[in-house]
Amino acid sequence: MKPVLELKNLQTQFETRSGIVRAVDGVSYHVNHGETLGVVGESGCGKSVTSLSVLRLIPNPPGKIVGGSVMFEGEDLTQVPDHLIRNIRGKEISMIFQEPMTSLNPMMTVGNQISEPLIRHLGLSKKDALDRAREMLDLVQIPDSKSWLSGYPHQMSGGMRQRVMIAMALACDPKVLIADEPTTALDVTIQGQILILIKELQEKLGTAVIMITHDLGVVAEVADRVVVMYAGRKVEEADIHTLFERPRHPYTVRLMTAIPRLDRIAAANGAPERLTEIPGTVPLLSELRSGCAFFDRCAFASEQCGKEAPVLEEKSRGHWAACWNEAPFQ
Amino acid sequence: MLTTVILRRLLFSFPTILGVATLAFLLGHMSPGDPAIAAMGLDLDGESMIDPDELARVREELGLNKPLIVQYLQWIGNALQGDFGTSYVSSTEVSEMVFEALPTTMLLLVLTMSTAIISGMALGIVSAVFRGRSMDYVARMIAIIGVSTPTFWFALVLMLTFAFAIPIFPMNGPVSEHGLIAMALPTLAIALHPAALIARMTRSSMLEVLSQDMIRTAAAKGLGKWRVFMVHGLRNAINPVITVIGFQFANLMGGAVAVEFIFSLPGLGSLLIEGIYEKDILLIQGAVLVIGVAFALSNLIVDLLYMVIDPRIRV
Ligand SMILES: Nc1ncnc2c1ncn2[C@@H]1O[C@H](COP(=O)(O)OP(=O)(O)OP(=O)(O)O)[C@@H](O)[C@H]1O
Ligand SMILES: [Mg+2]
Repeated sequence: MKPVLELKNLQTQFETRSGIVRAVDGVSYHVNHGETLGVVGESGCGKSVTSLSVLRLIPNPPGKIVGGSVMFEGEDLTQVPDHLIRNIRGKEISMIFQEPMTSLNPMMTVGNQISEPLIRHLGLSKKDALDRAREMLDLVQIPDSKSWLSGYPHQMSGGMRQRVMIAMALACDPKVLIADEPTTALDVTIQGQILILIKELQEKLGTAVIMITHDLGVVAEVADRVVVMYAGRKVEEADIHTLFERPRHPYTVRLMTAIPRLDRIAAANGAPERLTEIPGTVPLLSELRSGCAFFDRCAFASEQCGKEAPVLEEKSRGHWAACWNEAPFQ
Repeated sequence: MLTTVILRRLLFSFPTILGVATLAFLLGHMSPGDPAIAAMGLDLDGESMIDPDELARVREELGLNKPLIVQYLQWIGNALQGDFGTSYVSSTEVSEMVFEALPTTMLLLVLTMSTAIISGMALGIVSAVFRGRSMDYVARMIAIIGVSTPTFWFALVLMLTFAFAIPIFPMNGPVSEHGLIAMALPTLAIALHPAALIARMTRSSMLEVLSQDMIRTAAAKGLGKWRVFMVHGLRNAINPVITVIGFQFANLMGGAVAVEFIFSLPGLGSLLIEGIYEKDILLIQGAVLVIGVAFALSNLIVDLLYMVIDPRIRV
């Protein structure tokens, strides 16, 4: 199958006072038509910066895409002129973000916010756009859609706002939907509903979805294929079954033991609890490093790991990992 | 629904206006000199030569011998009906004098406000959008100069430069004599300071909003740069700017008094200064009261503007 979106060796940096931060350090991944790609990794490993780089939404300065390419329909999005990338944003590739409370404009009605991309990309009249916006609200299962058209975000709950974000993102029927931790800020019960909604809509519309999360539990629920990121790099990639059956990177294994179990969450009164913290922290991305970035935190590290960065290898068909050691890691 | 809110706010601004009236009255009576002597058309220094019986007669005639509280209640009762009394000095109705002067001041304030708002906001937006680039530095430089330049000094500089040295604009005189161009230099003189403050607030407020998540959402929809800046950015940045604009009104009145006087514009400011010179207390009271009411109304308008603009404040 031909991928609909393909990142090749993407590199994005931030120039900060304490030096250059290589937030994305040569990341490659792709997503196929109608497929859900999960991108997992701890906070700060570069998941958001990678996905924002796709649509060139990195604040510049201080951020800059310094290398690699983002191929979409035969064009490198890192190179196309500004007005063309604007034609792609919200029409061909859409995004939803983590914070539903702050991602919507508090001064604009819900209807107008959903209408904006319709007017911009499909040239609809204001009235037609509002009609379509209403259909979108129905699609994301917001009851009483007609009156919500003239409602404001502050009148809605977090879950409803995230539904509005989804409606807005899917309004122009994009080929790719990038969902950057769409459920992290929501209650556990609402999280599940939103994930199911995205899954349903994806099946209905045939959209390719990149689901970014720090939670392998979410990935297990929705993804067909998974990319594991660590410190600005991809450390493992496999289809969902292979990954859970035979993880090839110690970091992935640690992530798996960190999945919060639903029964324990219920016991903790719904507060998601980190059960197994991975010891240590992500290394500063501004530090120069030789060797594997996970070296300090890895229980299986050998001398070679400290000296030489492991290269990404295809361990079995479609299963890539960057580790000198052989699984299983127990 | 908005009308009930407006009515309620109007009701609330009534105590403010009453307070302003009281202050105006006290100001008039506390200022040095005897209004009765002024009313007799005598030089204030010639007190010793005044016939005491004559002075007492004038006092009684003007009601100045009554207790202050009675005078106050009488004046305020009449003032609330639009009657500010008859000037002891010029024997003209004060309300007539005030309402004759009002259009000049209103015109000056409207011109000044629009100039300050348009140029200040434009400057602030450019500054924020081109943050850190040369345009930003130029705009900020102008704002700093504007904030630190005293209005009366700037008025004199403008007059000397563009009316005296290079005579493009009239030196002084009313609109009735020169046409609207008579307002050009006074407007510029008063507008500089508020424009600079508005520019600063617009810049900082815009910068704050432009770093928020919703701006990224707007950009992710594929909207054009200026639509993102103006529709999503400015709209959310406008509240603190309106607050600053509202506060400017008090400053503006102060500036207007000086500038009207410098450019000999027959407005409320000139009238007030005339009243102070002549110790015409009813004129002082009337002028201060009208200015105070205008100030209270401008606050009301600012409050209502918030409500119209920000859906979260609507009741
Ligand atoms: N504007 C910025 N300026 C400087 N550094 C930045 C900026 N934005 C991101 N970074 C850096 O890029 C790195 C990756 O950040 P990113 O937001 O992509 O992490 P993430 O994987 O999405 O984490 P999270 O789960 O918290 O969303 C971080 O280490 C951060 O310090
Ligand atoms: Mg993120």
